[in-house]
Formats: sequence, C-alpha cells, structure tokens
Amino acid sequence: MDLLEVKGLTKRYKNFTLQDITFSLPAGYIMGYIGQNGAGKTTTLHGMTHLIKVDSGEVTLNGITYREDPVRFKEMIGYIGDETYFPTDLNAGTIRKILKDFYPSFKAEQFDAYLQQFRLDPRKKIGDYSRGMKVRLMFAAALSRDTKLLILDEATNGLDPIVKEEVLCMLQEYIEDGSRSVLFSTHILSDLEEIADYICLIDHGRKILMEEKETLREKYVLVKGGTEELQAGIGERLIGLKQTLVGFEGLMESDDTIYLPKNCTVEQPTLQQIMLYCVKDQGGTWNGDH
Amino acid sequence: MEIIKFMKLDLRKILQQYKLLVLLAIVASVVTVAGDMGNWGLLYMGFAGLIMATAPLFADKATERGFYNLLPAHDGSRTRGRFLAGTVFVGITSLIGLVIAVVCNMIQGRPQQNVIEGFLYVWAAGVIFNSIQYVILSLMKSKNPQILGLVRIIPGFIMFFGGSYLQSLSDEADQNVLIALTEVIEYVINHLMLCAWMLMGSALVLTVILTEIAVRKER
Repeated sequence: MDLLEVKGLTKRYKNFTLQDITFSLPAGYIMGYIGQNGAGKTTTLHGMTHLIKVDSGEVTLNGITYREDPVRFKEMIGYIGDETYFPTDLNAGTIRKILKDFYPSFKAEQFDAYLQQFRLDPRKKIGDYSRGMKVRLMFAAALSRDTKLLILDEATNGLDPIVKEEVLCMLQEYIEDGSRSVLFSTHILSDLEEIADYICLIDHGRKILMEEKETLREKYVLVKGGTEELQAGIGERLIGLKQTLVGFEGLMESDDTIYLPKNCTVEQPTLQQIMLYCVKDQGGTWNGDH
Repeated sequence: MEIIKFMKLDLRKILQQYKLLVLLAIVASVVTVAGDMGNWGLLYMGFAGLIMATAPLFADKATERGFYNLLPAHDGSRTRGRFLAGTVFVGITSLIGLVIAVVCNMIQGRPQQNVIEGFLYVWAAGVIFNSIQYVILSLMKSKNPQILGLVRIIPGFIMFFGGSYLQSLSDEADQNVLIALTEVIEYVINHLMLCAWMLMGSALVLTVILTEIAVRKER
C-alpha cells in the first residue's frame, strides 16, 4: 500500500472539470504534480485535503480516508500554499498558540527554534512579512509537528534563489527517514529537475502521464531535423511535433529512434520539453516557466 | 473539545477589536449617566455586541480559509464553534452593560431596578439575533458588501430601538398600546425573571437549531 492513493477524483465546475484523477505516491519520495496555469493542480490538492467538496473519488493517506477519520487525516498533512493561508492580522506567536491547541504532536520549542533559524519576529503581523518569510513560517508550522505528507501548492513561486534552495533542501531532509512524502505542485519545472522522484502531468483537468522522473528521461528523446527528414513514418512517431520553415522538432520514444534518418539529431530532453510536447500532443499549448 | 477550540479561535478574532469595545463601553456609560434609565447601557452594549460578534464572518478571507479548514476537526465543528463564540461574546458585552448599569445607578442614586432581568433579556435577544444573522450570512449566496453590511447592522438596530420602545411602553402615556398587549405585557412585567429565563432558554434552543441548519448547509 502506498502512502498516498488518489482514486477517481472528479470535480465539476461550470467551465472546468477535473476528471477522474488517479495516482499514488509511495512513502519516502517526492512527486512533482505539474501542469500549466489552470490545468487543475490546485483543484486536485483542494479536493484531496477537503478544502472543496469533490463530486466523486477517494483519497487514502497512510491507509486512512477522510471519511473514516477526518481528524487523523488532517493531522497527517502539512500544507504550504502559494499565498499565505494564515490570517494576516495574526502574528507567529498567536499561530503558535493555535497550533499547540489543535495539534497534539505540535512541538512549540521546535517551532520557536525554526522562527529563530528563519529570523521571523513572532510579534510582527504575518501581513507585514515578505513572501519568503511567509513561506518559511508555513514550513516552520508544518515541520514542527508529525506529518506524513507535505503538500506544496506553488510554494516556490516568487522566491529568491536563496530561499528556494533552502526550501528544496528542507524537502529532501523531510523525506530522508523514508516514512514521509512530498507532493509538490508547480508549473515551474526547473524546481523539480533536482528533487522530484515521480512526475504526474495534468492538463485541462485530466492526467496525461505519471512516471518516475528517470524513466521519463530514458523513455523520451528530443529529435530535430530538416524538413526533408520529416517523412510520413517519422511524423506519426513524433509527440507534439513543432514545425518551422526549415525543420522540425519533436519528442519521440527512445525505442522509436531506430526509424530516424541519419541526419536527425537526438538530444536528452529536459523535463520542461517533455511536458511541453506531451501537452502539445493533446492539442494544448504549454505556458510553463515565465 | 473541537467546538471549544474553534470558539476560542473566533473569540480571539472578535476581541482583536478590544479598542472598539472599550470605546463603546465608554459611550454606553456616558449615555447611561446622561439618560434617565440604568438599562440604556445594557441596551447599548447589547447592540454593540451584536454588531461586533459578526467580525469573524466578515474577516474570513478566501486565502485564509485553508488555515481554518485544515485544522484537524470533524465537519461542522468550526460552524458550531462560531455560533458558540457569538453567543459567548454577546454574553460578555451584555455583562459589561450590566456592570455599567449597576455602577451608573449607584453613582446617580437610582434603584437597581430589573437590571438582572434586563441583562438576561438583552443577552437572550442578542443570542437570537446573532444566530439568525449567522445562519442568514452562511446561507446567503450574494457577497455584495452593501447587502452583507445591512444584514450585519439591521438586527442591532432592531434590538436597540425595539428594546427602547418596549421600555417606554411602561409609561402611562402609551396606555393605548398597553391595552392592546395587556395580558402578555402584564404577565411579563409580573414575572420578569421567569420570562427572562424562558427567553434565554428559547434563545439557546433556537441557536442550536440554527447552528445545525448552518452545519448541514456547509455539508
């Protein structure tokens, strides 16, 4: 049994439907949950954590569903969002009291240590914190108690490189003991190149692929060539073909490279390129890193 | 226990307006000293409590709902805690009003007439209005600030001016109105404490019913 199992998660809105999202994440790993803006990443996370009611589907965390034990379910989750989800008119000292009240495993001394380490003034209102300080506070709150799953929802957006590096290190330390996992939702793929073990791509509310990152890298190659090399047989094997006046570029499964003409070049694609061409192949366009 | 924790959370939010509470208490004291009845202060603080008690509903920002909704608790605990916080806070402001009434009566050498009953009536009326307000605000789909603002202040005005009017019915000049309501009013006047407790009990029952309506709506 995997630590996190998401089965058939579906949510219908007027102009958007999150359709039958299914994936699982074993303990001790980091999954990059990726998609462009509006793909349904946050809807998935909100559905998983019951911040919104889903139309169907089930989420099991460490063998427990929300319906069986909502208290234990929520205790196991540490959530770090894009915007602060703490009330901005409170300060870290008050947050400390509230967390101590609600979470039996919350360690106030550890929280205080994190505040010192991150140089966060407990008397200052959260609304006056910078973006980086707010993210550090969310980490301090999540890491000061026993959790099984850390969910990051675009948490590294807008962070300076130093803070971002700090965050990525904390994530790797978090999973070190092998009993906890991280679900990292982002459209900035460069953050995942280093740390993700699994990649799950969604687009327009549907899961496009879910693979181990290294398998993905081995599975696909980036092919480039001139227009004369683009024969009918090659075109069919390309994923998300991009054509220009002088040539083409596209993704191809590694096994299919035996069909390539000699003049084509083959490169190792980045994660972004894999995602871009997979989305393109579905009829979409990728608006990833800005 | 979860309900108590959420109640504390919302009370903390309401009491962030403590400076406003102090200011209102001062105004209530002045109004009571300047007026001819000790219960002016009670009514005024009941009115203030009703308006201030809605603070958590209006302070809820979409970005902050994650914090509250991710706190480990069963469904409905947060809503129940909110209703309880409103009930308790209105009780606190009514108690402040009672203290103001007693102190001002002492200062002005007025008898402490019906102050306890007045406290219970104001608290009970506050609880009823507060619960109705909460359930309306939770059922309302419109988030228009003007409409929300009206829902917030109308009950307080009804309570304050309605209470003032009911108080004035005991004057001999309003005998015509008294005749129309004679039996009910007479019974209430002759059994003030009993009716106060009955109203308080009804208010609490109504609050429980309205709380469960709001919880079911949330589901």
